Amino acid sequence: MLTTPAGGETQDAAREAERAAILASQRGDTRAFDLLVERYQRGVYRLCYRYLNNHEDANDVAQEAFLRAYKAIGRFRGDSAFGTWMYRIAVNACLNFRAARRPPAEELPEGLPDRGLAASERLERDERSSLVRAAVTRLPERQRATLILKVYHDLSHEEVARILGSTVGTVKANLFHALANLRKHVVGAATSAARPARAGGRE
Amino acid sequence: MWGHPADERLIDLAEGAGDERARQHLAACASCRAQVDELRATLLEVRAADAPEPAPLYWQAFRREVARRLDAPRPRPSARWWLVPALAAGAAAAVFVLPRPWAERGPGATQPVAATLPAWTPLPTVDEDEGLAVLQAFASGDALASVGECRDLAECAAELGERDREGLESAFGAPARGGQS
Repeated sequence: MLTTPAGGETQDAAREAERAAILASQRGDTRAFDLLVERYQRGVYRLCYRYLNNHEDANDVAQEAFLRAYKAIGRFRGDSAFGTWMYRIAVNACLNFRAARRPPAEELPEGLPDRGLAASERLERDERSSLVRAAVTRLPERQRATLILKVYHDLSHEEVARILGSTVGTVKANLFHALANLRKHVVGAATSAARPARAGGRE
Repeated sequence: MWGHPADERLIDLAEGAGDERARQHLAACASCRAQVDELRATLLEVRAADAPEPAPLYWQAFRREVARRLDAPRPRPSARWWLVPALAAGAAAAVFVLPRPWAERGPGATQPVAATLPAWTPLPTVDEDEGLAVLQAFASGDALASVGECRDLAECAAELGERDREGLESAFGAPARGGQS
């Protein structure tokens, strides 16, 4: 998942094109860097969205991550995959962004939002999803980063450990705690809150 | 002797991995099985709650913006990050400048907001002055494009995201709410 070769290209050709783009970018060729942006923008943007849970911030921070990557690309030695390196920059950009901007001190919603008439199943699913996404953003930083990289980006424990500068054991432990926390705070809460809200009236 | 598997091993088991010993334990231990089932269910639920996919055209705009900022002579923070200081600086200027006629009327005259400001504060240097960059951006017209069409503070605030608006409100100490519900 860390490399996303364009259709038709063989893995090798894609890797070669990427290597050439990295070398050219290191010589200051911004057009070559554009290839890297094209290849990783989706992964980076979506990582940021999952982390920050809104489009505007995800867009700003994902762009910032690429600008930082370009500035730092001279230091990229190729001991890890470019994607690993890029994702680490993106995670750091998300962390910095959140540290700079205190997140709104919201409480977890107590139940599903009022939709008037009985909600369709689809709506309910969407609401539940947004509940889960909001809860993900409230996880402790390490747990959140681990969960996002592991679950949504389909990376191996080893890759996640490399991105986060951590060990496989720690990644698994963080994933365990992230899932346990989510289970406790959201999945259970939403299920128990949804039932009475639907049966009785609204508050 | 072998007790319940550690958290890391439960993750392995939930992912269908895990060594023989752990699997044997799982087969024999109902409480670990329940825990692994919960982990799996939560994993599925989290996976299903993925972020929405932007429209395909978005990626072109994203690339173009990154390229533009890379080629720009001097990188500057993106529009939204200085929007709040921009509006705050404008309003602060208004607060400071407008009350002066009253302030100069002599003793006994009401000195509204400006009176609470210290008599003298050092001016920031050019490098430190965030407001300067903001004013320059406004002068070049960039900022207006990002603000859109708004005629006053409340309208501009209505166009901001929730957190920007909160930043604005805390800068003023008063709600800056526009037509936002």
